[in-house]
Amino acid sequence: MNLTRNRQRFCDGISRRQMLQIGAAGLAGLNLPDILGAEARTGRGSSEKSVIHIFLQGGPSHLDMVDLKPEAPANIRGPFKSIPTAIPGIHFCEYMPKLAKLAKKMAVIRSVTGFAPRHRLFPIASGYPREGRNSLTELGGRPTQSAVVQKLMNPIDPLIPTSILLNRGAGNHAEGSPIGMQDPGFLGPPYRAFMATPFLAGKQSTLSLRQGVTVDRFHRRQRLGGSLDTLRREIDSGNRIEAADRATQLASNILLSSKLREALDLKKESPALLERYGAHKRWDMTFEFVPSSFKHNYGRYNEDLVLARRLIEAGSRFVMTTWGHWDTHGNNFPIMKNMLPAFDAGLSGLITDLYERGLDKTTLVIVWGEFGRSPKVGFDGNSGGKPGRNHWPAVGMAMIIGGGMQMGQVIGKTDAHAAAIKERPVHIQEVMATAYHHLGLDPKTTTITDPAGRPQYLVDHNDPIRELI
Amino acid sequence: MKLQIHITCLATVFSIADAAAPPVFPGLADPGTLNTLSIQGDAKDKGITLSGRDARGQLVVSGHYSTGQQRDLTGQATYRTTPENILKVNARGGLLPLANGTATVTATAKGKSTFIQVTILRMGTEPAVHFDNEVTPILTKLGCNTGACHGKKGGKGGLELSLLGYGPEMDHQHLTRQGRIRRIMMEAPDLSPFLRKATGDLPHVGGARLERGSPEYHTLRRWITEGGRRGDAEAPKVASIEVFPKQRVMPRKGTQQLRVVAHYTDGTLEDVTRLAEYKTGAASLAEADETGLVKTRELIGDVAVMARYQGQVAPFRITIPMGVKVAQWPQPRNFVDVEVFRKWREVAIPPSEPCDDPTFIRRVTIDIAGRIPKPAELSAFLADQKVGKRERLIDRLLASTDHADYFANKWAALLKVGRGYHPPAFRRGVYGFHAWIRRSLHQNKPYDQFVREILAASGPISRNPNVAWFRAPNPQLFRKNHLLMEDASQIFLGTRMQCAQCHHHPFEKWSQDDYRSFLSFFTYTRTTPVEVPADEIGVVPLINAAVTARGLGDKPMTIPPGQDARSVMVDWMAKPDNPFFARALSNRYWKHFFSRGLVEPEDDLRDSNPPTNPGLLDALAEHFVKSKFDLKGLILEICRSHTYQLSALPNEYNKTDLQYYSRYYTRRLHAEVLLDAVDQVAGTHTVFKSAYSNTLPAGTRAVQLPAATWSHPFLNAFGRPQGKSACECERENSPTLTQALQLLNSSVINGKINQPNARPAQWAADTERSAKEKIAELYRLAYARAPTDSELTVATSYLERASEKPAPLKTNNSKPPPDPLHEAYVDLMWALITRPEFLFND
Repeated sequence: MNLTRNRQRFCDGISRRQMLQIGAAGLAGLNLPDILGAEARTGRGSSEKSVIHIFLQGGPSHLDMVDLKPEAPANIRGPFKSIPTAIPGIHFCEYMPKLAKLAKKMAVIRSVTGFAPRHRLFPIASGYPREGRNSLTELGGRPTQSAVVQKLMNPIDPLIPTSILLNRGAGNHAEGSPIGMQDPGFLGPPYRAFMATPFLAGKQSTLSLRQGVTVDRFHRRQRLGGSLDTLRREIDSGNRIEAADRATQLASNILLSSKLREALDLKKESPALLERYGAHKRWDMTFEFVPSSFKHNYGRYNEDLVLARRLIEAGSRFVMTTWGHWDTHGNNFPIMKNMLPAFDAGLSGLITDLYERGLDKTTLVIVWGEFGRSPKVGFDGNSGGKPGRNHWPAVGMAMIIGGGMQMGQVIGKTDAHAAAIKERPVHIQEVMATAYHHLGLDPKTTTITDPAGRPQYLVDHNDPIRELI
Repeated sequence: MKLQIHITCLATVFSIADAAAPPVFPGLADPGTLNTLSIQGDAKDKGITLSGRDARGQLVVSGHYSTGQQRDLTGQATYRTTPENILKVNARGGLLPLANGTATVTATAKGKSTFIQVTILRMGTEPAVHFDNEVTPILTKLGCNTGACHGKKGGKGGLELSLLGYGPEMDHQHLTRQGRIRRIMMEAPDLSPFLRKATGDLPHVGGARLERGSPEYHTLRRWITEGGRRGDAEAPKVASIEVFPKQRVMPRKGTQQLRVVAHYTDGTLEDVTRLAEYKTGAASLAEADETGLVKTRELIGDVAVMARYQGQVAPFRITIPMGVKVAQWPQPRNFVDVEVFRKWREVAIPPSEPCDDPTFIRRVTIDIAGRIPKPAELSAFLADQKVGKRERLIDRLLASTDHADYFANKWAALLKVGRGYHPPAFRRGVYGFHAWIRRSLHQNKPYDQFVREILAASGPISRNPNVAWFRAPNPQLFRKNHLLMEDASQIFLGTRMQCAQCHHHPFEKWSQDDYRSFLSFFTYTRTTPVEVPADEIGVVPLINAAVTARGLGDKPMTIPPGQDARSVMVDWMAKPDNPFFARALSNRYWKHFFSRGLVEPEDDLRDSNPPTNPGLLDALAEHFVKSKFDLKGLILEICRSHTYQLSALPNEYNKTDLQYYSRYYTRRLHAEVLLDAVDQVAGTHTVFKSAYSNTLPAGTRAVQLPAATWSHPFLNAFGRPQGKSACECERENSPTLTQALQLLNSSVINGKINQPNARPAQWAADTERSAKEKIAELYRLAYARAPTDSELTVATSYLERASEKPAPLKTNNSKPPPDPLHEAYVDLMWALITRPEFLFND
């Protein structure tokens, strides 16, 4: 009667049964709350893998950073010169000298595709467009990676939230709210990443006791609450009271421990380290004609990179932040000339720091934006009458650092004008699949059930980038 | 150091859950003595017929015992065939045809015997293989056309098949015409890449899935030899499948062989046991292998194993009883109890004790009115000594506007009130629609009328706010007709049609044709923007042409010109024999009161997702129809049942019960109810803000908010739905860290209990009443009960210690120094409202 042994399995190794947990649940069956159950299923509690996701909001110009075309005509190559990097034959922009020296500690993908044509971080945070086919808008939309990690993974340290969003510098320009980065989509608000910005040191916060509640008084309150808590826990069904008790315990521990607060406190770092990240000064724009909306305190972004490393070290799994404002249009070259050195300082500081602490083995850093910029130096409605670079969703770049992966390589190739991909297109979802793979969530088999009851893969292009792993 | 102490004192909380060892259940009792054997034929008192060389049959031998039990003896029986050359029977009751003719198969087990006639036809004269009816099921059984393999959009490895074989025409085309027409080779069928890939002879990512020499291989090979034809398009199709047995009470670690028969549209039958697929609803209870052999495991409970063949599904329902001897069963109060108790008896699971009065008033007030009871209500209820006080309380709550508020909150989220509405249409689209929902529920409008006034709403929004359901005024958020249909079928019919838009529903019978035919009810509706005034939009039914549409699973109907197709659709829904409408609502309301639907998720009713207690769902739906869709009447029956009034405290046996309702299942209060409860205890109010409109009456409670547009950090943290989906599952009740931080340390909670006019301040200033009286009031407010003596002692001594403290010295600061007694009352309130007894409904 036997056809073959393995036919109850799909070609990618999941059994039908795993995908179809339908129908009646047993007495000892589905009685754990989703949150505990999902964690138990993934069984990744002990791993210490983590991700730092840095969004270059606005669309970084790949041609002026890691894919310069010195052979191209002047109206393509722009005014910037290329400099050699630590990898023979690979050149970066002249304003990224520190990163050029560290090229062996990073991997550059020059052929990222699958971008949405709009200023939104959501697609590169979730892998899916906001609207349209496959976006599950009617169910609440796709969850971003931060929410998926929050849902499926155990915390590394019980005192530190699993997914954290830092976005101190962003939000002061119109396009693309940074909130898109932490959108939990159909998973719902409880899986929204922990927004750390309101809790930074010195600010009023629910992380430290407030409104006249001292540590002593909090202890008194807790003892009082404990002795008045006479509810018999046998009445619990589906372990929900237990889950609430655990959450209360975690919150109390966070409030009484200084660990999260300290991780968010830059004063704990030495001035020398802040200087290595370029986080010690404002990096003011020196060109007067740059619009005020670009006159950011770039040192603040670099401070966020320090915080990201501190949070990862403290035990977070997924830290997101935005860096800079890259929607340059007609001011592309003056802005990039000013901004790139600050970026160069910040990212090289992070890379060096991660490697020195050995975190490059466990932490994967992804640096990219919502699309590339146009090869032709030209005009459009946003360029303000000055020649610059405009939106270019056809191709973009990504920088990958650490994760114990194969560094010191360039993946993919664009054509002579960096306008189209010539070799090895890498879909944005493959970048995300690489991050899932790193975290131990197999993108080929892991599914989340959407509110309509359909199992959804985390991403559809689910091959981790083979050159990296 | 302090942290350490803290963790230890909280750790005691968890010990109870971990300590209890699972109780030992007797399980299904001894069956007694074996009286007779029986073998299931193709129909009652009929034999079995097999057609063709590749046909396979399955016997199921049942033993009938003195206790009335039936047990499977298929694997234990020995089989004898006379004459011997017609067919062979293997040890597991499988039939292998050898020659045309009729034979008698005798099965013998435990000293008893029975027999059946088996007829073999068309050996060697099989009709040509029919692609749709014979090849497709094999592709499905082998898993070739699953979503992860060739059934994926775009296929795998260059070959695309329709998902689970819903489109045999395309599959046939792809197999015979694509791949440079080399997938099948008639001249040398065994060399066809189609077969060589499947057997693993050629490299195949999906591995070896077909065994050379198996009947399936023979069928596929014969199909190729015969020319790879699709076959007669008019050939009979599978109309339904039947599983034998349909249900059994089984012991733990028992086995049951299934037999699956396909009924074709021309009335012929075929044994498809070998080709059907089997899926268990809970692998922890029972598993089924690919031959239809079901094995129960060590746990007890109810589970269904689904058989699926050619898009048709049928369940085999198993009850694995607990077998506890119950001295006395409670008396049923109404039909709800009758059906629930029937299940308890079948499983032999002892129910918990009835709950006490304080527990009941808190439970039912939260569930019906969406708030915690007030101390005055509590005192009056406890003082009431007359018979029927619980029913009277239910009646009073159902009549209150609080009930309308709470259920309007529930329905508004489902109907996506506020979604996409911005000024200036906000007033009509949000306030108007919400007010209508609330008013309708308060008046107890018959449910069919309620649904009709939504689904068939017409006119400008200024006259009929219900048209807001059809579209948001923002052109970016046009609600397309197919999305309206999907929402309508999910909310009102408990049927999820989304999958069938693009492909045959993988676990259900709905096809794209069903989808489009049902959509036709909506197609001839236009939502029209009217520019002036800017907040005016409307719905216009186009009724000048006849419409042909079809209710789900029903016959097509033609709606003559002049009639609104949507109204005809509601007529169809509200027919007494509609299998979806009353059941969907009954299940939804059942879940509201019991936390678990009879079908889960509550809006996913389908043959392949059967209810845990089908009799109960039928009885609820029947009652609902008979009562002319009386919503409050349904709630009354549910709440007055003995079942609803059970304690949450488990007995020795039902601690892990999550499907028989043998005790009350605790759950956290909804976000809105919880925030209102905090206000009610503290004596404060929350001010809600919306980006578009703040014009809410003063004192508006969270459950009264018309839409999620009025946002609040506490509500967001506690998982209030945003009205994004037509599923109540959007409400998230899982405990999270953010929630705990909100409770323990947010300005929301601390702000309320510290307010100068809040109760703690009043109590601290009040010198008339004793501390004990105030503590008792706090307990009545928060927990709807009196404090126990020990609680009273703990609380009193906490307050006494605070008042003994020396008054703080005056400081230079202009702020008055904190009053220790006020702080102590604040602490006491904090201590009570952060505990599960407050957060949960038990």
